[in-house]
Amino acid sequence: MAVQDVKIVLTDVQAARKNWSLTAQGTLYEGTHLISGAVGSGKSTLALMLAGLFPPVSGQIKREDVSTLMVSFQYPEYHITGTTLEEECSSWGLDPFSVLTAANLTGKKTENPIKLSRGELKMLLLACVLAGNYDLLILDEPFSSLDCYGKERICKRLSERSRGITVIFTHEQTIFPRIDRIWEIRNGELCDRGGLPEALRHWYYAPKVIKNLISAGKIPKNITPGDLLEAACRT
Amino acid sequence: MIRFDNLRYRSLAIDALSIGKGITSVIGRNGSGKTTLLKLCAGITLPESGTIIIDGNPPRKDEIGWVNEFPDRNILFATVHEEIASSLRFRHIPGDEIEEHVMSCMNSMEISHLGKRSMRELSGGEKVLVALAAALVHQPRLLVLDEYDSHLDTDLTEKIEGILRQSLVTYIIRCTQDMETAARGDNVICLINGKIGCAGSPEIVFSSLVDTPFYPLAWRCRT
Amino acid sequence: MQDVRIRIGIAAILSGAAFFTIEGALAAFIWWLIFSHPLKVLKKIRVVFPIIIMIVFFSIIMEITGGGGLAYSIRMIIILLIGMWLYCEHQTGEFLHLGTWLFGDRAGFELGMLAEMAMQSLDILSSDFLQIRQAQELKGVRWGVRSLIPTGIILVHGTLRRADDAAELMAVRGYTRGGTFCPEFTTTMRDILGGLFALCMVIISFVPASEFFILYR
Repeated sequence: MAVQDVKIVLTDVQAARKNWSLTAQGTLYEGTHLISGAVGSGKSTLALMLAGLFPPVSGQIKREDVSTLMVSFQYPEYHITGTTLEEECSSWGLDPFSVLTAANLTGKKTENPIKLSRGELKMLLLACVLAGNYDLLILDEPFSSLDCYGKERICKRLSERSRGITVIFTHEQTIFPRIDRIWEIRNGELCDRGGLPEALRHWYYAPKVIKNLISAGKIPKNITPGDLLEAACRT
Repeated sequence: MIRFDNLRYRSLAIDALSIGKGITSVIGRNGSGKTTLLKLCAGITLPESGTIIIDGNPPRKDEIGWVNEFPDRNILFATVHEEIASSLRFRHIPGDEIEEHVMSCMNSMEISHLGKRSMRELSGGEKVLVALAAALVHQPRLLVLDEYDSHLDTDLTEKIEGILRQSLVTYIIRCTQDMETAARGDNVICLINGKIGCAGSPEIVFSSLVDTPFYPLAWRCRT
Repeated sequence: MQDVRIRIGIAAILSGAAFFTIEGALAAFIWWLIFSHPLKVLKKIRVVFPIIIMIVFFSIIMEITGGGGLAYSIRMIIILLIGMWLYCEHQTGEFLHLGTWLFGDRAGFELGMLAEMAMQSLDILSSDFLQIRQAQELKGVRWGVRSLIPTGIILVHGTLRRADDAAELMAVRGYTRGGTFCPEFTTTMRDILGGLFALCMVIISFVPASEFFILYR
């Protein structure tokens, strides 16, 4: 991991909507952060706040040394500006061929992005977003609408990201990239569960497979499928 | 039994398939035809040729419940009560019977606290529960769920699993990208490019997928 | 105001009075000042800012070409304020009650359901619009006239997709024509007073001033 001073500092941050309220305190350093929480606990709003797109009711969110940032929204169609896949890739300032290859969509380069299925559109968006070299990358439910192959591809690309802060908001239960720190929103509060593997013991929203491994005394080093399998195979 | 006979619709081609009672999970890659199959089972689309028969009836002549992928963005009515009562209202059932069925359904799903609240005020998870209640209130024979679990947390997924198991619905067909969920069902159908790749119990189907990312991670990690 | 029937009635007669005469518009404005929550309504005024600009634009044209632009703009803006008040007072689910009460459990139920779905669609559209704008700004697309086209395409496409999904849902839920529904309304003293006052204001605005002094003559 390249040494960089990027960080996001949350100081007494408070946010609220009709159905929920959220307090957040802590620092997100360089690396990949996973934030989980119940549906409707404010994850998407927190994603917007971290990106500076939604102001907190009180408190401060300071992005240090973050000169480029990107948010991948849950609904991929929000980002579309092109009328063909080629044009869409170019609108991101990217080479269409390499992006479409990464998204497994080379055969559809002249198609209108609107006509793609949700899963295909998500793959395209994520391929565009991951091809950029952002200091801060926020992904809101990147795995929803993807099949298992798609999830694996994205996790591989995420694990290859070598710089900046990556924040993943997700309900995913099985296929994860390599994660550096786990956070979760519990009872209206953003809780820092810590680095891996220590965080796994305190992770309330941990997937069942991870909880089972921990109960059996087999703590995985990380939460990629390979790490979980390695832990399971330990005697 | 739900029987498929020489079913053809766009790229979907199923020569013969039978689905027994219980929960059947439909899995497959994006674009393999899962949603198409589910819509045919629900009677939303009609096959170009061939038939689907549910205990002797075609889908449009039977009671079907349907929940799509983003139920929180597909709400018909403004309040919880009206949304759940909708299928009974559309059938012109008398008002006091509607009230009875709706209260019974809400109680059985433990959402009676939502009462007559506005749908706008609900959290995403509560909206999914209301959509499910609206699909179950008229006691369908077949419940079809199209990737409803793609953005649900563990607690809610387990709660819904419990509701499905306790419901009196004869057939539940769900499409999911969570293989652990699929493995908990009674049957699994794996679609490959519009055709049945494999169908049967979870053990049989997943044994043919052991070298793919579709094999449930929990099974690989069995301690 | 709780009773949607009275609210719609008030809005209809005040808007009619404001449309036809400047006296009617002033009467409607007085009613609006007393019975609406002016600050609450004015907070939402930027939502209709494009309409206000259009009204001012046409008023200027009218004034230049033949006169009457000022009276026109006053009347239209007051109608807009009445409309804004109606929008602010809207309570979830009431269109269904109103539709069924007016036109029965077939056409009325459908109109009411359609109106409720339209209101919900507005909410989703405005939230989608905001997120699309944010997504495009993040991408480096400067917000302006050119970015309206792709935004419009996404919004229209999303709306059509949701319409498809809603149609499927209605079909599976057994919709054919209308539905059973028993409309219920709550009428408060404020509703009755507001309705009577609106009626008085409209009558006064249509009666010539000299007729008021008929006894004095």
